[in-house]
Amino acid sequence: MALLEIRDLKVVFTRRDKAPVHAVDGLNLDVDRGQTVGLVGESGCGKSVTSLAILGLLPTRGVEVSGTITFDGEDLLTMSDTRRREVRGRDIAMIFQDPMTSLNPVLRVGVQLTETLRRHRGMSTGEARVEAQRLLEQVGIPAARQRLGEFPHQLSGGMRQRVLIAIALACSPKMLIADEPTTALDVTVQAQILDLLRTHVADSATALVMITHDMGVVAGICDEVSVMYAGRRIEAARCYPLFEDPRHWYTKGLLASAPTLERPRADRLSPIPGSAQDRIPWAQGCAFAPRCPAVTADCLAGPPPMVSVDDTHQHRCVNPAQPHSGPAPADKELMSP
Amino acid sequence: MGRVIARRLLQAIPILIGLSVLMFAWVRALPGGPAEALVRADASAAEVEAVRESLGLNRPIWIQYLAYLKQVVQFDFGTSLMSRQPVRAEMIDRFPASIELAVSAMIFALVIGVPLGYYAARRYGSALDHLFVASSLIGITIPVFFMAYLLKFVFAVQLGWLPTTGRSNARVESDHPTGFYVLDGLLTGNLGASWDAIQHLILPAIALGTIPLAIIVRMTRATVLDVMNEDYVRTAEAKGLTKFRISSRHVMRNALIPLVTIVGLQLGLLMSGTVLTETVFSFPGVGSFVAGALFARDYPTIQGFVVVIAVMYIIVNLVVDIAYAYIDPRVRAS
Repeated sequence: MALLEIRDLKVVFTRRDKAPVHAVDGLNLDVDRGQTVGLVGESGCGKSVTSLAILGLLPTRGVEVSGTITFDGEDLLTMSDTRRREVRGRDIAMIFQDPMTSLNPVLRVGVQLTETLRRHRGMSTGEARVEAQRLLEQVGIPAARQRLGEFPHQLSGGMRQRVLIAIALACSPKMLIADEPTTALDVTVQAQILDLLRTHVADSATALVMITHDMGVVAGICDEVSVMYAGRRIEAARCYPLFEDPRHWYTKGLLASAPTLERPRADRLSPIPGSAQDRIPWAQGCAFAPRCPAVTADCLAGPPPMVSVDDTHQHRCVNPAQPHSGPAPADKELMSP
Repeated sequence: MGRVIARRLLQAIPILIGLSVLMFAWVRALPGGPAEALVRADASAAEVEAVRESLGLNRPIWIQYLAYLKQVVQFDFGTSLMSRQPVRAEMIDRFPASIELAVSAMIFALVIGVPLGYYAARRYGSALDHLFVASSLIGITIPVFFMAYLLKFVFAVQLGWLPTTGRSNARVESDHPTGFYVLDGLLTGNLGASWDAIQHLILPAIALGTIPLAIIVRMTRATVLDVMNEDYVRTAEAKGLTKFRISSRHVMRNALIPLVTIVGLQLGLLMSGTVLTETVFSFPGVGSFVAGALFARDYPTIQGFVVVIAVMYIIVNLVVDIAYAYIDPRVRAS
């Protein structure tokens, strides 16, 4: 049994006088211990909502969540608020996108780091301070002792993200969710942060869910990739097979739209036409059909099932792209940070 | 922190100088000139001449100003025309009462208002939230004197739970080293006197504190709603902290920043706006005294009042600035 098993997860935002938004629409996802899974897709495909649903951080009003999220044998969606607060931060930790706003501006770094240790590991203030210093050193912050007494505005963006990572790692969680942890950082710092995450995951048996829209990040860190579209997984494979041989036309388009080093600079990028708003409900057919270059009548004949290419590669396309056909997909040498 | 305080104190100097120039010019612009204005209407020519002499009105204007400044620095505003007592003595007698009343009103407003506002924000959109917002609107719209009469009628006259007027019961023996009766009771170990002073403060403080209460409820609600949507509160939630820890440490600490501004402004207003409440409860503070001085054209008293109120505003603002620096490290840095 996988560490995290998501089955038929649906998250619906109800709106007054407007049609509800199906942010996550029947998602299945497994994450094993020690595995790094990339969750990829464009804005609005339900990546971040999925992570918030796992942690139970979605607002309670105006949101309907159904399905099951089983973590380490327990259903996260039905457990009590008290139990959930115990799991959160201890067994599942999260790193957010924007380090500039994710730390409390009026509390010292030390306080923000030690409060997790005291809450989940039952440490005294003194023990927590020693451990906090060790954690800051572990994430590569120099003069860690001094940093504990500083406030977030005294640190750079990269430093703040390191602090947030130290907070997330504080209780050696079984699973770490990183929601676009490098998006707000400049490229050299991105590479450092990814290195840090990679090293940590390799050293411990932590499962890492990497939420990103950056294929370079995926190539750099993930074992497996799940591509999401319109709240559902449309293709899943091990990292390199997906880059080499994408079957779903959306994946193919996503890879083709990334810049590569081989292509001359003058070449225009090839974007996917339309926007994520142009979608049809999954019940009527493939949600990507309105934007798909290979759409046929079959695509609109009900929800497309998940099809297996082999043990590790599945997709949800009734008219899949053939290996190495059509416009050349981007290869391994992406512009990775 | 010390530098913040020093800088603010230095900034107060030009404000006070500007104010003294205004007051100086005002007295000299009074109808009939300053000497006539500063004596009673039925004063003889000799008396006017004596005042003119004492003011040194025949000297150059800048010497007059410096002399005036010297007096102001010593809080020497001359003699009240109404009571024939030195204005300074009247102020020392009455300001502690008004300060005690204003501070009690603010404590009432904060102790009730912050929890209500916080609760309304947590239950945003619920029936209770709507109830709190609506009643805070009523709180703002009820005139202070009406509120004061209502409280006095119900709790003092009809139910007899609390005293109707004054600052203390004449039968309770007490010493007043500071003039702040609650504090005096504590200082002299006379808890009975403190309790008596508190009983006399309850109704006036509620009457005076209703408007600030309503403002604080709305302000707290709005800022807590803002802060709850901040990324760092989500981070705190993701750490699995308890609800209490998140609200006390992460939400309220940040919500205090705008709240402190409001409290400072309101406290200043309360100090100068106690007239109606003091009148209804026959509370011997500065408000009713100055109201009388205005009608009697008791200019020395009015001058003294304006300067003392200005100084108190400056002190309150200083405290607000210190509170800012204490709460928000970014202020300390800048």
